[in-house]
Amino acid sequence: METILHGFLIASGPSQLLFCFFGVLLGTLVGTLPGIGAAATISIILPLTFGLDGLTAIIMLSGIFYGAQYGSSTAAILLNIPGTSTAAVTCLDGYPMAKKGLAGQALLITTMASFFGGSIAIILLMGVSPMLAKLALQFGSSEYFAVMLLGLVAAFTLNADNVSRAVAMTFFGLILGTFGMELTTGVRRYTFGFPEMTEGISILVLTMGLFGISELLQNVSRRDTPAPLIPSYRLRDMLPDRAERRRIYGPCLRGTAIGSLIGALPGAGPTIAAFLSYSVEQKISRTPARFGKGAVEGVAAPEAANNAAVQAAFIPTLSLGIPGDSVMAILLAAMTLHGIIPGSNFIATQPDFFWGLIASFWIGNLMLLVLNVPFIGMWVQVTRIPYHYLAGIVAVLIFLGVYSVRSSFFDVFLVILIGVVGWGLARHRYPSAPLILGFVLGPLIEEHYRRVMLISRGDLSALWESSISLSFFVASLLLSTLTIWRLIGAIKRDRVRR
Amino acid sequence: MSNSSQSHSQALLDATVALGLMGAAAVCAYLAWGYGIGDLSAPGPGGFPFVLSVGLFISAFVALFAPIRQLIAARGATARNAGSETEGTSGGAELMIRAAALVTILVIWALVMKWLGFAVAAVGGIIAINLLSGQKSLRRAIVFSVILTAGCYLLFSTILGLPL
Repeated sequence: METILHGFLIASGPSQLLFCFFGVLLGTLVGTLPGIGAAATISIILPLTFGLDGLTAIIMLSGIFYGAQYGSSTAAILLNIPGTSTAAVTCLDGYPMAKKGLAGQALLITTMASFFGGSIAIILLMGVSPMLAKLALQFGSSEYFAVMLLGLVAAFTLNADNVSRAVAMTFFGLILGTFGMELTTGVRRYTFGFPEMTEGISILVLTMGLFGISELLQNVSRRDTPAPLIPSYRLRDMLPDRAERRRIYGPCLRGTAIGSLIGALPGAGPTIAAFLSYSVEQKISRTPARFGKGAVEGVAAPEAANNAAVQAAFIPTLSLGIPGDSVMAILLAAMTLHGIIPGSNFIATQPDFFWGLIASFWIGNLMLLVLNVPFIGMWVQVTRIPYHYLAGIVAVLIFLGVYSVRSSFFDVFLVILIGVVGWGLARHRYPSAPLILGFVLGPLIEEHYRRVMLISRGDLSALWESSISLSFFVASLLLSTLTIWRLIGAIKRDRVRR
Repeated sequence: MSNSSQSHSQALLDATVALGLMGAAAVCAYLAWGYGIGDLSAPGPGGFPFVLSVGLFISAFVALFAPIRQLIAARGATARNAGSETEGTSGGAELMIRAAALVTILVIWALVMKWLGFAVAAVGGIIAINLLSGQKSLRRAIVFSVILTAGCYLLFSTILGLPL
């Protein structure tokens, strides 16, 4: 209790409060706007945080991540436009509610469910992270190798529709992570004669290319139709009645439980949590036919789930140093750039940072509650900003952001190349998230693998000798088997259909 | 373009991407071999990338199956609909032209930034992207571009101290 109070003291500093506010404000803004995701925004904003201290920078960048989840529901409900992939689920019942004249209730329910899900997951984060970090103190290289392998396996097995493509992207990311000088031997790998490649590809260049330039290319043909004018709402009109309130308690709790579990798993993310919680609600409902036509449960459960998942995703990142999804991988890279190395010793050695960050999540969630309920009209107006203005802003910030890291024009050309390749791959359904995870985890996996092999003198079984690493290997094997089984089933069903 | 013809060209592109990844994997494996593979007790600098390259090659090869199956399925239908190729191709072609134009703008922007500095390059680049993304008024594009460039210059150069 003392530690969290101390965290609140740290997070309540004027600059921490100010940048937390900037973060959640920007997050809500990009969540509302379709076409600019949290990953792209965090990558673009990251170079601007180099002048800040590490904690303030991460408070702001995290605020963008969870703020985007709140903001995305507004445009999803009022305009049927999902600002993020998670909000696509909210559209299913939120927009029909708005068409029935219940937009105010839907908006308030999503905000309350988001706050509830986020808050419970923060409590979980406070309890589980120190325990996991204590367990991780027993980890050696073989255990780290095994848990990172599990993270990568989870990342591609959860992409059930494109497993082979997701596996290919994971390997592609792992290979990109090996670019540059190999530290043990000093050999330059894949530098192609460019001295700038000696340090490898910067995570910022990779993410700005994959998410920033790629999104610019994806939206180049977008033509905005003016969003309709939305009437303003009074808080009194937005309050759900008693029957509706009774109907959302259960979905909120179940959504939070699913979101917390999925979010804490390495490789999973808020989108999967939102879709899973929606399908659970539909399955257990006595009146499943109401879903898709404006059921309040279909709005409350996924919103609680995706916000819980976003907060729970910090558990493996902070306590093990292993990111759960692509946005967490960027945040992990941001921490590293600010000289903060999360892992098993992180909570013990940097308690001020850990508890300050957690306290900032509470503060940020409260700020979002204030930002979202009374200012809904303002967020709707944001969706009316024409895309051609946003494209210019995104392009100039990418160029300046990339250039600012090393004052290198090579990086500016590299970001364009990566953007074009990423856009081409995305057009053919090759997901970017496993690539980012592979890129971040690749050098760590190589380091731990090399260490185990050197200590054991080339005995491969040393990788699964301990019970902890063996259990991670078994989990990876089970996940892989399950995915192959599902794939075979899908192929068989496809044949029968034909 | 008819549905079968569309799926035929989509499958062809999918197959090309998978083949491209297989090619990239082969190049990476070849280079990794040159760095020295080593053995299990003393892994060389090329050992880990070599294993990854083999993994990429195999997964890209598996990803090739689906488009090849589609190509075989669409072959007959495409032959039947060979006469109606031109209908409806403009959407995809327009996207590709716009994407190519955007990449050209970005490359020219980077080159101009290298030779003439940030301000000139950014003003021109933002105007071009603005117009390409649907801005109809040149005057508004110029005003927006100048304001944005000035704002960014102030933020990055004056406040953050980045030499532009």
